[in-house]
Amino acid sequence: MQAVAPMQSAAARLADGGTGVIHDYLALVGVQRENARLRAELAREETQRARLAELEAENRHLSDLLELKQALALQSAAADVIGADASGLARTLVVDGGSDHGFEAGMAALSTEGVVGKLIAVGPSSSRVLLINDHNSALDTFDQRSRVRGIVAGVVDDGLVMKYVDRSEDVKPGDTIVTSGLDGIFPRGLLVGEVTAVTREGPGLFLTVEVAPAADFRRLEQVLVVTQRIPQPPPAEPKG
Amino acid sequence: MVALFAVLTLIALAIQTTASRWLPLSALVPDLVLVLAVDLGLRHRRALAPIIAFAMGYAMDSFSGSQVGVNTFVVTLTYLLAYEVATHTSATGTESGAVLAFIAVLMQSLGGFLISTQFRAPGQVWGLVPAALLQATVTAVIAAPVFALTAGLKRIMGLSHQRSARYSRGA
Repeated sequence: MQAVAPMQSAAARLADGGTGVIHDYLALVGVQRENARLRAELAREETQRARLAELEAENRHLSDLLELKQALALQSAAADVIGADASGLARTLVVDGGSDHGFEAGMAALSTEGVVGKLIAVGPSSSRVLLINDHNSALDTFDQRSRVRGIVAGVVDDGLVMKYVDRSEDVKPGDTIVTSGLDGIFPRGLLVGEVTAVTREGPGLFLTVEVAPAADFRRLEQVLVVTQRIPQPPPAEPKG
Repeated sequence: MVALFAVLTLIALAIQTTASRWLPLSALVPDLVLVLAVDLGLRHRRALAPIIAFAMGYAMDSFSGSQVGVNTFVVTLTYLLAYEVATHTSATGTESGAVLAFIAVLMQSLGGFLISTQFRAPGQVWGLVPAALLQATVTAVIAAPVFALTAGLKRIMGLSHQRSARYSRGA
């Protein structure tokens, strides 16, 4: 018995060790499976989180649009931006609403940041919007502080200028420019942009007023199209 | 040929109207319709070809600019320019096609601006030059793969084109 005991002891240790290795191996296989499962779950959760974040952003944006729609107190409809100008040099957008949604050429397109443009071509289910920074675009505006009126037009190098502002008028950098409502397209008081520079060049009659647009046209995802005719402000009373 | 160019024009317009959303500058989007017009002018002598070019320009007018007709005019003019170059010179290869595409983009952006403003603000055209040059360069670079693609598609579809042999020699 004494002679066998060491061998028994060694065999028992060996058996214990072997069992441990097998247990460890089985546990490792289990951990690997668990790891793969958790990784897959994490990937699913991340996808879900990204989707929720996107939905949240979209929801926030739509809430802002709804707020704008209610503040306007005019009939309007939201449309998604689905394309840009094909040439890349003119500034137009394609939106996914058309005559089926009550859109007509000449209607105003707005965003929560400010004025976007007006509809120039309307199909049954899509329309094209001429942005206010296109060189063929012009809208009647005024300086919110000094009430000076002018026509805001697009310029080729991606900005806006306020035209026909008399040299004697009070317009300063930082002034807010809003729509006057007199063009019959854009409702009165909508944000157009901010004056960035005022220069008095040459012997001309007018100031050169540079305006930075309030809306970021490259990041637009939805616009609000005003489908109701804009009420015209009452004509000014003749003096005297 | 009509079906092929109709489909290619629609694909080109879909790319041109959406690609700018993923690129930092809209001027980086190549004008693929003009490349197709150059291809048409260099390779096709049929009476149908200028009509196809006109239709391609008209389709582009539906997706670009604020005045209908400007793109129709420029795309048809591009076709005619390429046609004349192919008729009167031996420069019908890919390189000449790329040069023609470069010129066509400059014509479209600068000429299109002058036409759409009715020549009332010629001084402003200089503001367009950097973007126009960038887009013209990108378009010229992309022209060779587009020519190869159209040639491949024509071969697959079994379309005969009279100038293909001459074009290949030039390339």
